[in-house]
Amino acid sequence: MSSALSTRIGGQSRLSPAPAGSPLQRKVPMSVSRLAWYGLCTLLALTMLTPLLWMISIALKTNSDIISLPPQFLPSSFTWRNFVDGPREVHFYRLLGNTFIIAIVSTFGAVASSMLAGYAIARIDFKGNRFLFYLFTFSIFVPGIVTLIPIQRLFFDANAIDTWYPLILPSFFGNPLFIFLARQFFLSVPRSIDDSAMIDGAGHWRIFTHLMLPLTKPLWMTMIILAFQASWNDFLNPLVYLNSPSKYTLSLGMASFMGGLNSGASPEYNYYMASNLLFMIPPLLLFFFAQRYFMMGLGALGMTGK
Amino acid sequence: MASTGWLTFRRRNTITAYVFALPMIVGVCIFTIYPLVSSLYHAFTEWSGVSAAKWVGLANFRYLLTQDPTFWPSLKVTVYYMALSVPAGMIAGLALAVLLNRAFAGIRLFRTVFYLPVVLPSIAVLTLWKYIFDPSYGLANEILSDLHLPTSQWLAGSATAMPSIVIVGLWGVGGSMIIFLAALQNVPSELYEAARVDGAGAIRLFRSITLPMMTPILLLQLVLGLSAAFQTFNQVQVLTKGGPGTSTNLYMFKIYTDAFGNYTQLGLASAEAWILFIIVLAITAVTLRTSRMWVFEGNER
Amino acid sequence: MNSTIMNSTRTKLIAGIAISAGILAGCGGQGAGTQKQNADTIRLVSWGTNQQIKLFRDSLATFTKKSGVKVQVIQVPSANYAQKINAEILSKSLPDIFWCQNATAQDLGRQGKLYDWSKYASGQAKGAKSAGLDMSKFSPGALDTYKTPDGGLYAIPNEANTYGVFYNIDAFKKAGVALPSANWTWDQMFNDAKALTTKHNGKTEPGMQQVWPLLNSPTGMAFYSVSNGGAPLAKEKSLVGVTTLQADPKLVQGAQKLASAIKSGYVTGPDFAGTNTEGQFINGQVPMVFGGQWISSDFFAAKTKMSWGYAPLPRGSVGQVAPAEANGFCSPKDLKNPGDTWKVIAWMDAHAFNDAYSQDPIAPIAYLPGSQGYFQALTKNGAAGKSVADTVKQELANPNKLGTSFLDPWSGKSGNITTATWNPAIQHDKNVSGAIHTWVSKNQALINGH
Repeated sequence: MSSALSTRIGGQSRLSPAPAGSPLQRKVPMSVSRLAWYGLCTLLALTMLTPLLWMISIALKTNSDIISLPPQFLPSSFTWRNFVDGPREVHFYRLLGNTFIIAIVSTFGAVASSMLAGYAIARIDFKGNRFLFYLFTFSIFVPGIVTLIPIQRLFFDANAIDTWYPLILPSFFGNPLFIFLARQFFLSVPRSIDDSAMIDGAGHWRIFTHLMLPLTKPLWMTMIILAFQASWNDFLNPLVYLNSPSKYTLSLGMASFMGGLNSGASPEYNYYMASNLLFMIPPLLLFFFAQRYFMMGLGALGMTGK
Repeated sequence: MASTGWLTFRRRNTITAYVFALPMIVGVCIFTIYPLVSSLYHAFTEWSGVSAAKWVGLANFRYLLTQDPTFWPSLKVTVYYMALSVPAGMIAGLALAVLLNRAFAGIRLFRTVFYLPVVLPSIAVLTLWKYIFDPSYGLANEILSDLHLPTSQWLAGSATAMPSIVIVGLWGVGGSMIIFLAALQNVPSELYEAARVDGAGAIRLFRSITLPMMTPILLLQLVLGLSAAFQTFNQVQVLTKGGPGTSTNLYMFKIYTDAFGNYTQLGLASAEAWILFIIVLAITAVTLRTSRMWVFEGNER
Repeated sequence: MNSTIMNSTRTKLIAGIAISAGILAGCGGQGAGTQKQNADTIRLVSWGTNQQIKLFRDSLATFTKKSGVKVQVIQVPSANYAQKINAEILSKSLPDIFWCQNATAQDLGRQGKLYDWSKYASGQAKGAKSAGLDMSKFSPGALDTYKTPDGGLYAIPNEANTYGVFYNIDAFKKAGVALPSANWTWDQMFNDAKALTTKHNGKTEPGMQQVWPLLNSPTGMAFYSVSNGGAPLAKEKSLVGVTTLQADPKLVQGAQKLASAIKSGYVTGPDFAGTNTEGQFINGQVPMVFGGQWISSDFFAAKTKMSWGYAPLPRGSVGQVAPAEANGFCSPKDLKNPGDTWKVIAWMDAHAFNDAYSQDPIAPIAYLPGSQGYFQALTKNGAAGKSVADTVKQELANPNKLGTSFLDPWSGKSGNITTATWNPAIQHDKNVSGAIHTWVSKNQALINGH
């Protein structure tokens, strides 16, 4: 299993995000077929975008628009204030701060620890190398729910319930999937590089920090994006570990607020959707600025597991 | 002399390696091995988490398999979900990938649009769709009634709830689209040229070259899709809480409610989690085993 | 050539570590802050709304001024309340006082996880009496539901809940249907729901939506049974220490009527998950809503122009049966400061609810002097307020009471049985009688197994 995976991963890390000359592409002079293609794609793209456009419309509606029947697609007037009142009602900025802190710290932990472990397993000859490899590939296949109850127990015993430790600490102990990616990437770096550094008297720490880190930027950028996204989107762990609304992350806080909207006389879906839009912005920004690594990460994930 | 020097070098290497890998070793021990052992033990106990666990032998498994009124229904619902969502996601992803595997102007824009929903936080997407599916105020029925079509109960109807959840999943089809797109671009173009010289049409090309070359990645996507379907949680927690009735009570959600719901039944939930683990391993093993029959190995290795 | 690049990488790395360490330390500080609570601050956890929490805090500030006892009110959203309390039990970090329901209190009390207030209730404990809670002034039976067979008292009751039907007077008048009275019958309820059911665009709009799953549940149908001279579900006629379950023919009859009304689309069934029933009611889009008295607080707050009323649970051939349901204040076994905690509980029941619910009428209080504020607030809300007050008083005064959920340990697994057998039968009106008997025998097997 693992070896089959590894060969595929090796191939995938060369994935090019730019549209290469497509093999299926033919020089089609017929503009009709090209027009049909554009028509179809535009239609599909509009379908994909409709929910988002509708969300923006809800976010701009007045309180009475929200409960009028039948619902109208467009707001009767643009209520920009929802983008102020909504986040205040949801305590959006507090949740945002919490989520950012947790995401940044756990991303750092996951990437640093996984890079180190991946380097050791891929580039150092030592006894137990193979064993460690099997150890973490095995962990990839263990579903989170199997370990959730005992891990929760551990954090209870450590008196860490209703703190951020359970959301942050585990990432400092290596992410099996990232270690896998790191190992594959490190294996593809030519050995001659460290051999010559070794002759110059460099140790592994020096090689790792001075040679490998610059060389493996695509790797750790990809990891950063994956780890940040995973932490930003995490819902089950905050749900299990956090009790006080003041410590909630965005996922948990937004879901709780939405859950409360079902009861009550004035459902503030306009407030909710305005906040939801803001909730989507940081990952969107990350995506637009690091699109290349996003695609690589997805390719890598597609090969191993999500 | 030289040999001791080599030994020292080797030993230093070993020490360095273990120092580098130490966090990971500790992590695997604390966050994988120990919990596995602990949850295996607790699967054979009655344990509320409040009082000490009491050894009950196979009682939890017996209860689940013979008495629990929601165990089999939730497995059935999970299989139904897998049967709907995994093929739908793969077919739609492949279709989009083939559609977008062109070099037309504006292709990047289309790819970005289709990929956009994947980037958004899962809870943001799910809460949005929950409102879209609202029978009175939601967009879904608004569109249906604008088109003069009969409206639906969506998440509130026991027959429509599961397909509705699958629709939400399909909105994120851009993820598998990108993976398939990458795989399509890895197919050597000489193969197509050679076939075209032989006079093969587009459909022939797809069936005899594209599809076989894609089988390894299709296989992997299938395994991952099935195992992810078995561990689907957020959708149910946000959209339906398992309802209406038991129509969307996915197995993972059942474990969660048994473990952390109104009554904590951690022993029972541990047994359920181990059943899930075994099922996921079995799915993986069976799919990979049978894959020899249909996966094109070609120039692998 | 490369050295500058490498240096900058290293600088970044070190900066990264430093920043992360700093943040982690900050977060640790916060974590530790919550653990090391000021020892003399009493922590109180509530599932209340933002408005409720604010009002409780205001009232408790007065208490702190008088007594010197500091109280911290912590809000836990109701959506995940049970899970959160469970987590705090498991991590042994329960607050000094937390809102609990009957079943939770019985369950935890039995497991020895809750503080036994019986010495304070009997006045034996030091300072018990001076806190100002007169134990004889609890509504009849309210304290009993929190007592365990061994004589423990694991919660002090607070909000007493009542159930009934909110109705839109205009809709009834328009349809020419007589308004629900204080003595209306089950058949009237089902007939009214039928008469007020409307159809437009081929879609049936049920006459009655249910926002609380009482009527649709087996224990809810026991109200029908008992009010018609039948038996409740438990032979023991209580909800604790149940050994034998039964399905009275009257209960089956009631369930069949309900199922048929649900199938015809007059009443919403167990599968119903309305997005905004209350909002629709205020807008005059839903004629009848079955629910607890607490949702009327939202109706008042919305200052709706429509006229509406609140009718009690209907009567059967032998009379009316009212729900016996009160929330309570629970405290953990290893309570640090029972004396001060008791003072806070006493203040809540005797003063805080009066202060808070005179502004936001949520519920009457099982400690009868604590209900004054609630009823005062209702009188400020015109005819609708009076209607709610009349119904609430009628149900509270009714000596013929029935509990709303089972409290024994087996009931934890019972929910799954209801989901799998009872709910589908009621929802689709399929073999209701058979499903009820299956429900009884499966639960009986649970009881026998325990």
